[in-house]
Amino acid sequence: MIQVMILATLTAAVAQGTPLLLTALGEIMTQRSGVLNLGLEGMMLMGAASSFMVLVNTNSLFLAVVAGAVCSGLLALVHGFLSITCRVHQIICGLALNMFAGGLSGYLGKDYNGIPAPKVLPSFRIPLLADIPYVGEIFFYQNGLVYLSYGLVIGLTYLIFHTQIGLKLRACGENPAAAYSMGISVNRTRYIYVVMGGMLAGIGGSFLILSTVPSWVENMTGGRGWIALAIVTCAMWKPAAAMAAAYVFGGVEALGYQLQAVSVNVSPVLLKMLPYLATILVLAAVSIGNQDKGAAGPEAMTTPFIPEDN
Amino acid sequence: MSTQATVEMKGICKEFPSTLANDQVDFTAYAGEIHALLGENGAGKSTLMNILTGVLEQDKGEIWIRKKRVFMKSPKDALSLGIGMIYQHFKLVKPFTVAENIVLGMENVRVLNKRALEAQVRELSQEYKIDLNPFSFIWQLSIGEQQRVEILKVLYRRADILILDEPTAVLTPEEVKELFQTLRSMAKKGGTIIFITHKMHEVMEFADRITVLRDGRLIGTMKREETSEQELARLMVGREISTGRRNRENTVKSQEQLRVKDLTVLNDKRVKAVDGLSFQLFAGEILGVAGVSGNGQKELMEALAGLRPRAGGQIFMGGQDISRASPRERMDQGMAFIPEDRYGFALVPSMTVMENASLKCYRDSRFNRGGVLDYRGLEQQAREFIKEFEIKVGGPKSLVQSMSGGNAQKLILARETAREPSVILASYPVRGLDIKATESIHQILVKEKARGAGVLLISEDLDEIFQLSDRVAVMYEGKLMGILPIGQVTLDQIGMAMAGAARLGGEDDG
Amino acid sequence: MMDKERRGRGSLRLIRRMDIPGWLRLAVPAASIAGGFLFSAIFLLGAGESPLEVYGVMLQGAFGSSYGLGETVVKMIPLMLVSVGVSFAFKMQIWNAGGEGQLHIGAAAATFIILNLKGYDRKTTLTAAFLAAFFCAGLYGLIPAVMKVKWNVNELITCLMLNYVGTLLISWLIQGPWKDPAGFAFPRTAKFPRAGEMPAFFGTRIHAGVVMGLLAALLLWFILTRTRWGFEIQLIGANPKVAEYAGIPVKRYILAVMFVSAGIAGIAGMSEVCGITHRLQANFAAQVGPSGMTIAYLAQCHPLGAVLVSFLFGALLVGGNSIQKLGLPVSTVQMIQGSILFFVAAGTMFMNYQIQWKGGSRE
Repeated sequence: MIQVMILATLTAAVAQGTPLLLTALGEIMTQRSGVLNLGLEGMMLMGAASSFMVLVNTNSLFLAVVAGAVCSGLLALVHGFLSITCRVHQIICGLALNMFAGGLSGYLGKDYNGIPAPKVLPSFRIPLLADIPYVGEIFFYQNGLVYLSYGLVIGLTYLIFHTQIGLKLRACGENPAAAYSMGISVNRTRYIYVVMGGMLAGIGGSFLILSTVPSWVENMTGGRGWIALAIVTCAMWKPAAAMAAAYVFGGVEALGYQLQAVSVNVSPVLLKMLPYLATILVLAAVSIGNQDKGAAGPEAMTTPFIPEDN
Repeated sequence: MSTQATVEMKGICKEFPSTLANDQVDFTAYAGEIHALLGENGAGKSTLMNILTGVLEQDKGEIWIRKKRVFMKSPKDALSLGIGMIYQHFKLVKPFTVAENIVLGMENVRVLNKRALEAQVRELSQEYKIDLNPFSFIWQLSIGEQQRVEILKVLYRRADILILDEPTAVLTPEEVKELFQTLRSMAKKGGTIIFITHKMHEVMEFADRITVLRDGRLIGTMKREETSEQELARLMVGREISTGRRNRENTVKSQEQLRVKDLTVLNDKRVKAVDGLSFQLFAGEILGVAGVSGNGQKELMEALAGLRPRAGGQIFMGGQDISRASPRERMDQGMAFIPEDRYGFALVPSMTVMENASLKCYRDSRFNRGGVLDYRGLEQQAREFIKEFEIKVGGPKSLVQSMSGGNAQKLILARETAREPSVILASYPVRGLDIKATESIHQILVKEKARGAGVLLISEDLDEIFQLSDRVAVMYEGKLMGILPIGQVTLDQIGMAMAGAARLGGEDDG
Repeated sequence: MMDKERRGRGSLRLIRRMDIPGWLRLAVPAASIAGGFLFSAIFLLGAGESPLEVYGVMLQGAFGSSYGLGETVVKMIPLMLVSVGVSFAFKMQIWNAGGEGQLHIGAAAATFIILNLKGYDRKTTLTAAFLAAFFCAGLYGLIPAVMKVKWNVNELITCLMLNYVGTLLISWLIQGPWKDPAGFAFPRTAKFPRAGEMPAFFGTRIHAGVVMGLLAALLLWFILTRTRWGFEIQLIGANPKVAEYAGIPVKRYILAVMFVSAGIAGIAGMSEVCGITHRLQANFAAQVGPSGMTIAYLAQCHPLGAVLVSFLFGALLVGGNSIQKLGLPVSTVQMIQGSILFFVAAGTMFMNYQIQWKGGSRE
């Protein structure tokens, strides 16, 4: 009994953690290029809303995910335009993005409130891998977007740390003047990764509505965008570490549900607080742990790059 | 020397919102030569070279490279023409390794293969006798080594026109010699070397030809054999300048103002930057501390001002232990601090002259009644500063960002000396200033010393050290290499001490 | 690199202004607000609504009647308190995004006092509730401040997490321990005794909170512009390193300013429960937190400006309620607010830079 419960919790941890992971991976790229996009919450919401609307109207899961990616990508493009070209304060711009996207998703989704999703992302087994005891059950009996996230973690790790593309990306975030002097178009690079980051946040939102909470409600993300943002910092901008962190937060959330399911005598409202409290605790712990390492994070993050000045 | 012109710039004009940086400048450099571009700060040297490397675009004028007219939009275009620039502030990515910095932006290196990279970098460094470990991180390297990475970077791109912006500013005399040996061997292979400088003796020692700029205009180009240091100095400044001693007031060593005992300070990476350092500073003297920057100077000054925690040791001011005093308490005891980072530390560019002038005195009872500030009084004070120190600025309500560097520095000195401090900590007080501003800053420091303040002067410019100091110390790897009175020390001795090769002798720093 | 490519291509160029003219400081926010409404109109049109009709209904709702006008002031009160509080921290570049949570904690603290402090007169009861709200919210705001000062944890994320924690805490209280036993299934506390109600004026719902908000704004404005503490806060906001160099204990300031900032946001909660709902209930202050931040930024962190902008946003909320009869959700208002903020942010570009078109063709 207890074994089944643990297994169920861990499986759920991966499923709950994946939207966080997808969004965090996007933000890792964005921040490594030197731009802070605080609008994750808004972009996830917009991704979820647009996915849901497309799903209801076309009944195609694929188109739904694409719609989520495209809409959030467009929002990120707005953020890119304001923060890269107009050199607007990136924190303010991110807050504006959240508010606008939150409002827009609620406004556009007004006719879809409370409708259940016509279908959800199906889970399927990966042959052979799914047969590994425990591990197979937890990691290899999931839906397609979960597998996509595995691929992204591996791919991004390789890309960021072992290729010229990654070198350029990191240089733009660490020392854009140096990158520029070596012929890299800093602002174009930043645009690309900001938009890609937005698209991943959108897919994170799609995942949420196509699997985790399959029904549209205003503000359904409930702070997951901010948790994803915290994951980026906790993971020190590394995809693999983000994966671990995302599953921890997913696990906390899953634990809350599991405890409710076995009717532990704690109010469900209090259990809902768990992920938020966990985020605060983990952030504090990571900050204390990294205190000796000096400043963390891309050196030039939030600093606009002005070619004429360099 | 061949006579093939590799670089020809004709009638270059470049205007910035407030200044005409280049006005009809012609410039020609040949293959196989080391060409010095000489001029004061603000003469337009860097602008001209930034145009040549595609960083800036000229408003008017033509550029011809190897007899072909070219149009460059970015450094990338310049690099593809074989023009490489080594900036004064290195363009290196600190958390990257040497090899990663070298291949950054190279389209033919798609995947970072450790072994292949190592082989390539080693081959290159052997060819030019530049010794570097490809896998060291930049932040682990000394300034001299970082410069070598910059040189390797352009060599890796097969650049044969090499431009160096003030390459010697941060090097010890020994490192300077090594650098020019490398540059000479590159010139012998047919390269064109252009270096920007304002130091006459370097030009006379290492350059084949010299181009002098002043106020954005070309003054002339000449061969080294046909000119002299005096002539160059005159051309550069437009009038005779004194290179002699500026501190002629002889004061007697008297009362001790500051005593530092076994001070140890950590840097941002938590490594010892100041290591058991001791010295005394007396009233009425300027103690000049020479040394290559990055040897703990910044950490020493910040610790003295109370802005960086001590890891050990004691600091006394006027005999009183201030080791645990807050920055504010030290200020109130009579400590003034002129930090090296003018705009990031001493001034707020987006605030007014009045507000910046008030930073240290707004708490005085004459400006503040029960917490309510007397803005009229503060404005009056700013007006007095402007008048007394001949600061060129619109008025007390103008923003500091509209001031020139020299005037901004004068504002800092006006503010810091207004409360008649007994100890003045001055870090690189004339860095980046033109000769006129330098002179007035030096005069202020000498005047303060004559008034009875003890001045601790940190500088990497040996001319400045010799012009101002009563006693000289050299800082190397967080320690003082001895302290000597100015009459008893030679340039060679200081050079050796800066490289850590020998102590100055004289007073021990213990 | 070809000559042809050279010609005919121009580029936009931003040149930093050395001095910002005064008229721009007013013109840019005004134009930004207009821009935000225009931008939202695109989305209204896209969804088949008539922007003119929607905006007309909003205007009518907010200003068209004395009731509407009164409601606008009522909605303005919490916005004013939160934005004034938040702008105090923003001034120092401390991102207090926790107004929402602090407001809820303040409301809870006031509720606790009023429901438990029985038999005192109105003055005593309300003063105690005021102090409790201020201190409890202030302490709540100290959590992110301490974490920032001690361990350099980003205050923005902690503040937002604490918003969720704060609101969940309230829903737990009103569903559980503080639930009105006589309230059937409604998740809310018992009604306050008369001593816990703030008086209303002019036969409207406008209550004493408006006075508290105006006083807070005046007080902070005075502190910021006339006193040495204000000078120090502005200095820290401009550059904390320079502030340290000038001898200012920056960390202590972060703690103190966050405490006050959060405390004022807590007063907003107290004034809502004592002035409007007269009990603690769910959703009593929806969207006040994010709007407060928008207002603070729009007002360039100027406390008196925040009062003015709060009035406008109060009208936006009242107008937002009235468009529900067109079948539009309240989030429409959030969308409009977001686009206003976008435009204000973009507007800073026009303030800080001169924009020049540099033609490409020459010769």
